[in-house]
Amino acid sequence: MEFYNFMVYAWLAAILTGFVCSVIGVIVVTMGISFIGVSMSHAAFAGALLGIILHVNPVVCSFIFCFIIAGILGPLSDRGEIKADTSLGIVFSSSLGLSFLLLPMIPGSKSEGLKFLWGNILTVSRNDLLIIGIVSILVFVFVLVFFKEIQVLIFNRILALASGIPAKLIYYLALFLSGAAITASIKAVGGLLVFALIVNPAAAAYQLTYDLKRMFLLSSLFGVLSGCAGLLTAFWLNIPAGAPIALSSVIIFILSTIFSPKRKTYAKPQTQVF
Amino acid sequence: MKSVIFENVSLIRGNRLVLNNIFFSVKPGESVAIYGPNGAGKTTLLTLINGLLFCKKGRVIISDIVLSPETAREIRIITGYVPQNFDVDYRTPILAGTVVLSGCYGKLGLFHYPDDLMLKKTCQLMEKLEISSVFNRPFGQISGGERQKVMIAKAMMQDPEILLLDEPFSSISKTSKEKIIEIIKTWHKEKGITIFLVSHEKDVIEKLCSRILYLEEGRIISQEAIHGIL
Repeated sequence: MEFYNFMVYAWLAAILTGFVCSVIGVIVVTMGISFIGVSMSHAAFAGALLGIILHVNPVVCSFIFCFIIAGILGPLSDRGEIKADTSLGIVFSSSLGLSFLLLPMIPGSKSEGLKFLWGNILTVSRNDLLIIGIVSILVFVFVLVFFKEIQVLIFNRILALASGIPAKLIYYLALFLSGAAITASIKAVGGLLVFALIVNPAAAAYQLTYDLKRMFLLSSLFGVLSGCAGLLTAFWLNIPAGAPIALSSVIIFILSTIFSPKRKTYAKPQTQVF
Repeated sequence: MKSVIFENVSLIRGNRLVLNNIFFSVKPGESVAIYGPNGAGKTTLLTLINGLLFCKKGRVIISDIVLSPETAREIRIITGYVPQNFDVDYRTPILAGTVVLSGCYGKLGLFHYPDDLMLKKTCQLMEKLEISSVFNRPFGQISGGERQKVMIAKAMMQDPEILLLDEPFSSISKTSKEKIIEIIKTWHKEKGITIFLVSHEKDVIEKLCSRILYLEEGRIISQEAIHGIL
């Protein structure tokens, strides 16, 4: 019975993390802030380490850290004084620095901390699954309810604001949900590899369609497929699942690029006149 | 119909005084051109009207509403904005028809979706501006002129009471330009829209505007009426 439970949890975690990361991925990839995945995942890792040191629930600390980062990134990119990629780089380096500072401070074995870096889908508990499930529902509802606003934000944030759309609210919500999705997935996939599930399925879908609805559908399909293929490979080769999940998503991206209709239509990128 | 008043408006960006003590008023339904050399502050002045920027000194008043972060949305939903050409990745997943339709999203508000009537209006506007053929094409893959027409259609989709046009015809052919000017003039007459036009083309200004503000180094140098127009 216990073996059955752990198998079901692993499969559910693979499906849900694949889904939630790839849906958030569409938003961050099309908005040109893909690097947010790696910045947030390292912030989540630093948060988890702090939680372990302070004997507080590491997942709760990860959430808090990610929300703080989202709260910093939003206004930073809004003010326009620092470019989005620069602010993401600064956040990434500070999270990484903080992680390396906190890691040696964990009393005793470091494995408790390192499992948030590498992840292990086979150790996902019922509570972890519940968190991933809740975040998945929140992300799904967000996309469903604010689809038309997300569409305009992806096109141009300034124009969205100019036509009276609450662009800041939607953008900040997207940032907070990115943080939540990453934190929820970090235990299953790991802080280092969750970035792959954010970017690769969305980038693969980006190669195949100009329709945002289809892009969300394709990306979530690719995300779930990567999760399941990775888990199968992990069982087959008896290795941790994070790496095969990430590599499955890379293979899907390569195949999408090869068979991309956009590539056939536009062998060379169009020269932008303006 | 909305009036626009600038009361001693100054704006500093970085270390540069972009607008310096601007004072003018525009009556409801008036059409005004803003003319001047590059870097004079023309686009900045436009973005102060729809609350994309806020001045630290002075006040912008739109029909008794003082523009502030709190009141900006109220003004934005009645202000159509056609920006200067901007860069869009050719792969961006948004169709030209959706861009036009999105003009009504601000007024619709959250949790509401456009109905068939709005879709019909989108088609009619695109037909009027001769861009029906690009309805289902990705915005990033249409020509510069078509993009400008799409942006004009998007602004009109908002049913604006104020229309801000920032170099709206720079990529549009002469024949199309004449037609669009006539369409805008008809809208202006029928709906009493207050128009602000930034342009370097004197013929466009003469055809579309009744007054011209000359801007140089962030200051209004002079104001002139264009007689016999409109």
